[in-house]
Amino acid sequence: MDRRLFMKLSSLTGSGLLLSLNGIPLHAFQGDSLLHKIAKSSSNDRVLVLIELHGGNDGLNTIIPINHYGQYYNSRANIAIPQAGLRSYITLDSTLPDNQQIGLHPDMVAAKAMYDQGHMAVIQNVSYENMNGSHFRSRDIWMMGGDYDEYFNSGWMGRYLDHYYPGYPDNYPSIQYPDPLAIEIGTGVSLAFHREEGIPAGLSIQNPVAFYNLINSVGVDAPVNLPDTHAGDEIEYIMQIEKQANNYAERLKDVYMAGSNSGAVYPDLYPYIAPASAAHNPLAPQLKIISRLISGGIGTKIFICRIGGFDTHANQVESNNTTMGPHAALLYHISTAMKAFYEDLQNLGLADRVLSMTFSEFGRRVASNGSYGTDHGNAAPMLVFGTCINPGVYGTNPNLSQLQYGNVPMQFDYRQVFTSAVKDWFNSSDEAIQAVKFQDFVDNRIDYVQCKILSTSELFKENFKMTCYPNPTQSSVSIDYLIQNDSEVHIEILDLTSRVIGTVEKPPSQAGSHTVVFQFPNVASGTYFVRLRANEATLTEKIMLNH
Amino acid sequence: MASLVPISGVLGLQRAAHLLRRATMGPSVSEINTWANMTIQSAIVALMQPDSLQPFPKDPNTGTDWIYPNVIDPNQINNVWSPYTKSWWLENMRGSSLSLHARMMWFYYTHFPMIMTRIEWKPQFPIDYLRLIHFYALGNYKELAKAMCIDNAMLIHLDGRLNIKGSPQENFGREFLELFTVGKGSIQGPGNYTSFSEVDVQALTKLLTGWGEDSTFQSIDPVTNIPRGKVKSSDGVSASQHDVSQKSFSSAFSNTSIQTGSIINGNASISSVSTELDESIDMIFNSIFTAKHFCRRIYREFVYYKITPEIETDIIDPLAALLVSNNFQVMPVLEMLLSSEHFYDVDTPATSDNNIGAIIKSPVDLVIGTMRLFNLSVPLPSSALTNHYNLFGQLESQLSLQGLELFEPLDVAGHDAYFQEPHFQRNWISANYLANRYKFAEYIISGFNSGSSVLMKLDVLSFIANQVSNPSDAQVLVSELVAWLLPISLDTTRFDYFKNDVFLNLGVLNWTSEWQNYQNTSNEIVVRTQLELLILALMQSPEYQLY
Repeated sequence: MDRRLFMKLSSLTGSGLLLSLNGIPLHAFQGDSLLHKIAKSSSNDRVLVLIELHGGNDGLNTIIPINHYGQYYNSRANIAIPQAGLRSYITLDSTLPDNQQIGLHPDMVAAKAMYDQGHMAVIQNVSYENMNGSHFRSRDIWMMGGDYDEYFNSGWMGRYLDHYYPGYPDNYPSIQYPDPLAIEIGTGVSLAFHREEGIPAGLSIQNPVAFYNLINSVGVDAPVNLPDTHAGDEIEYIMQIEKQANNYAERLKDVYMAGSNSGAVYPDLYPYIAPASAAHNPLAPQLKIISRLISGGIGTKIFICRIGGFDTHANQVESNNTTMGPHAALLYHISTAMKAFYEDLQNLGLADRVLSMTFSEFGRRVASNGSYGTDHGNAAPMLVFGTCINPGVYGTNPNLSQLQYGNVPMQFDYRQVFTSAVKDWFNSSDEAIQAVKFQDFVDNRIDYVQCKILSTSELFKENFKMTCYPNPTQSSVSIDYLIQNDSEVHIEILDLTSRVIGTVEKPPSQAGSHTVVFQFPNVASGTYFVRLRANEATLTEKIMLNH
Repeated sequence: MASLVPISGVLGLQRAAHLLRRATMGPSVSEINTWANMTIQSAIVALMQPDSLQPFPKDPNTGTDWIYPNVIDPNQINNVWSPYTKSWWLENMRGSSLSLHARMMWFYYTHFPMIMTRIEWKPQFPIDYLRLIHFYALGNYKELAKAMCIDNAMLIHLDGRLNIKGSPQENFGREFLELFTVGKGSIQGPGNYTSFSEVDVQALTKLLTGWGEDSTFQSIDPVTNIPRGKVKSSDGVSASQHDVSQKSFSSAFSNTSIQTGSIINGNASISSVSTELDESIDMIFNSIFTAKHFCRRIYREFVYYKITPEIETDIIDPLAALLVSNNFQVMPVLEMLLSSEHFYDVDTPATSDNNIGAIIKSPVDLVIGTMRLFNLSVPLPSSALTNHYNLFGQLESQLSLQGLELFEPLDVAGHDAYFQEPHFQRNWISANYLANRYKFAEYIISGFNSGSSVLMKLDVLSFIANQVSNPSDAQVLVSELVAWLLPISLDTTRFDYFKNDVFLNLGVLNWTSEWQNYQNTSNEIVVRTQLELLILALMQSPEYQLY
C-alpha cells in the first residue's frame, strides 16, 4: 500500500495532515469490515483499462434487442443477426425482463461465458446530449469529459491524475511513484491524458522491451541552457518528453521482465470469414502486456488500448452471411481477448484489481445502408468487464419505434459511467470529482462497481470527527468532536517538533458530540496540532496560533 | 508590437535558411548559401514561381499510369495503388523546386484532409485530389474551397454523395464550416458557435444535396481540367436528388436565404444546383470569420502555433483584410507575412517572442527536409521504378513511426498537429515518435537498403569535403554544420558540447592532423567515424526537430 497516496485520498479537508496514520495501525478498526477492506486493498492498487473502439461501434449488431427483433430486422435486413439457426444471436440471460432481453452477436461466446461467471455488465444506450456526428469532435468529448459544447484543454483522466499526483512531471518518477501514471498502448498520446499545462500525464508504449531498446539507442545530451524564445519553449517540451521516456523506459522494462503472464492462452485468429485485415486479434497482445506489467508490480492507474475498424459504412458483414465479416471479427476479438485477459489475471491473483470497459465515440444508425454497412448514429452500449463488478444489464433496450433522427437516443450520459469508475472504483474524494468535472454525475452514476470502498472521509464523517475553531486563534481553541461508541478520549496539543505542550483534562467519553475548550499556555505564535485519540484511532488538525 | 513592415537588405545566412525551411520543402546546403545573398523582394519572387507535378505514378506491373482513359489492372485489389500514389506525392515533395508550391500543397492537404482508404476503390480519385490542390496551391483559396465541395474524392470521403433530398447527410456541410471555412467560434448558445450555427449546417447540407461522384471521369472542371463529381440526374437536365426547398441561414450569415433558381418537372435544373453552390460560397466567404480562420491556419503553418491577442490584432486582422481585398488570392498574404519584420523576429526587442526555430517539424519536413538538405540521391521512377517504390515504401514507414500516417489521418479533421488544441504541433512529439525521429537520423547514415543494394545513404565524408569551406578546421566545420542543420544559434556551452565532447572525442582528437592524414593516405576510418558521430549527434538533438 502506498501510504502517501492513501493519506491524500483520505484526508478530511485536503490539508493532508488531518488523518495521521503514523503509529495508528489500521487493524485498530478490526471488526469493521469496510475499513478492513481498505487496509487490504488500498485504492492505489486499482487499475482501470479503457478500450477505445475507434470509428463508432455498431451497438445494435453487438447487443441485439430481442423484444424489438421485428423492427430490428426490418431496419437492417441486409446486415441483421438472425434469430434462429446455427449462428443466431446468443440470448444473454433469459431471466431478465422483456425490455432487457438482449442477444449477443454469435461471435461473442466468450463474452457470454464471462457474463455467466458474473464478470460482465452491459450498459445500454450511452451517449451525451446533442451527439456530435463528427468522429474527432465526439472522441474529444468522451476524452475531455465535457458537454457537447464544452472545450477543455485537458482530458478527464489527465485531470484525475493531476489532482492526485500534483507537480507532474518535475516530481516524478519518485520513490513512491516509480511508474508512469497512465499508459496508452500505442505510439501517440491522445487528448485523454492531457493536463491543462505541460506534458501529458501518460506515456505511450507498444512493447516495453522494444521501447527500452529504442529509447536507449538514440539521443544526445540535452542542452544545458535554453534560449528565452519560443524555440526554447519547444526544446524544453521535447526534452521533457525525452526525459519522461528515459525515466520510465528502464523501469517499464524491469517491471515487464519481473512480471509474467500465466498459462492463459491469448487468442489470435478469427476462425470464420472476414477480410485478411480483420483476421488477427488487435486487442489481445495489448491486454497481455498490461497483465504482465501489473503482475510485475506496476503502479500505473489507467491504461488505454485502442482498436480501429469500427467505422463500418460499408461491408461490415459478408454479403452472403450477416454473421461474419469485419465487424463480427472485431466482436470476436474483443470477447475472446477479454476472457483470456481475466483468466490470466485470475491465475495471477490480480483480477480483483482490474476494471475494464469499452467505449466508442458513437453508435451507428439503426437502419443499414445499401452497401451492407451503417452510418454514424448516436447512443450505443458499453461493455464493462471485471471480477469485482455487479454483473447485469443496465438500462433497457432501445425502443426502435421511437428513434431520434433514425438513431438510438441516449439513456445514460457517458459521464454517469465514468464517474462510477472515478468515485467508486478509484475511491476519489469530492475534490477530485470536482477537479475531474464530474460532480454533476455523482448522484446518478451507475452502480456497476461491486467492491466499493466507502471512502475513509465519508466513514470518518459518519463515525469519528473533529473540528477546531477559531483557526487561526489568538489564545484558545474550541474542539468539537464526535465519537460513535463510548470510549476513553485523549486530546493533546503538540508543537511542530511533536512535543506535547498541553492536554485537555478528562474530555467527555460517551458516544455523541461534545465541545471542549483548550487555552494555550504561554507559547510562541506558530503552528500547532490538536491530536484526538479514541478507540485507538487518531485525528489530527493543524491550528495557527497568532498572539 | 508585431509588425508586418517588410525587412530590407540582403537576407544573410540565417534569414535565408529560415525563409527556405518554412516556405519550401527545405533547402540544400548550397541553396542556403546562394539565397543568403538575395534580398527579400527577389526571394519572394523566386518562391512564387510555380512548380509542375512529375509524370503520374506508374503501376510496375503494367508499366503505365491508371489515369483515365488508362485503366487499372483488373486483376489487382483496390489498395495496390495507394502506396504508389503516396510515393508519387513524396517524390514530388523531394524533387520540388525552391517554391511555395509544394509547401502550400502540404498546407492544403492539412486543411482539406483526405483519408486514402475511403477513396482507394477508385485509385484515380486520390491523384485527382492532389492535382486539385496543386492547381490552386499558389492561387485562390475560395476557388479551391468551392472545387473541394464537388471533388470526387471529397464527395466520397465526407459522404457528400450520400447527401440527398429527404435524407440529409451533414458530414461534409459540418466540416466545411467547422474546419474548411469559417471555423468554430465560442459558444453563444445551444448550437450557436458565433461563426455559424446548427441551422447553417442543416441549410448548407440541404443546399449541397444531389451531388455524386463521377466514376466515368466524364465531368471535367472547365477551369482546372481535372475530373470532378456531378449533379445526379436521371434525365440529363434536372437534379433528381437535390432539395429545392428554401435554404435559410442564421444571423451569422446575415439571415441569407438561398433558393433554387429554376425548376424542371419539380426538380432543380442542373445548372441551378451549381448556382446555389456559387451563392453559398459567396455567402460563406463574405463572412470575415472565413478569412480570419484561414489566416490563423496560415500563421500556424508558417510562424508559430500560439496566437496571442497581440498577434490577432497586429497580424491576423491585417492579413485577413488583405486576403479579402485580394478576393482570396493567397500569395499577397504570404508575401506580406514572409517579408515581415515579425517573421524574422526584428519587430520586438523581447527575445521571448522570437519565432525563428519555434516550429516542430512535421515528419514530412524531417524526412524530406533531411533528404533535401544533404541532397541525397534516390532511385528515380523513370529509371528504377521498383527500387524507387521500395525506398519510398520504407520512407512511408518512417513517417508512420514518427506519427504521420500519410493520407490516412485517424480523424477526418486531419492530423492532430493542425487542429488538436491546445498543443497543436506538440502532438508530433511522443516518446515513441521522438525516438523514431532520432532513429531516422541513424538510418540516413547507415543507409536504406534493399537486400545488398543501397537505395539511399548519406556519405558524410564526401558531403563535408564538398560543402565545408575549410574542412581541416574543426571550429569552421562545426560552425558551418550547425548553421545549416539547426535553426537557432547555439550558446558556447552547447556549441562546445558538439565540437569538443562529440566531435573531438572529449577534446583529445587533433582534427587538423587527422584530416591531413586522410588527405595524404586516403585512410578514412578516423575522420569518417568522427564525422558520422557529429552529424548523428546534431540530427539527434532536440534542436534539429525544429525549424
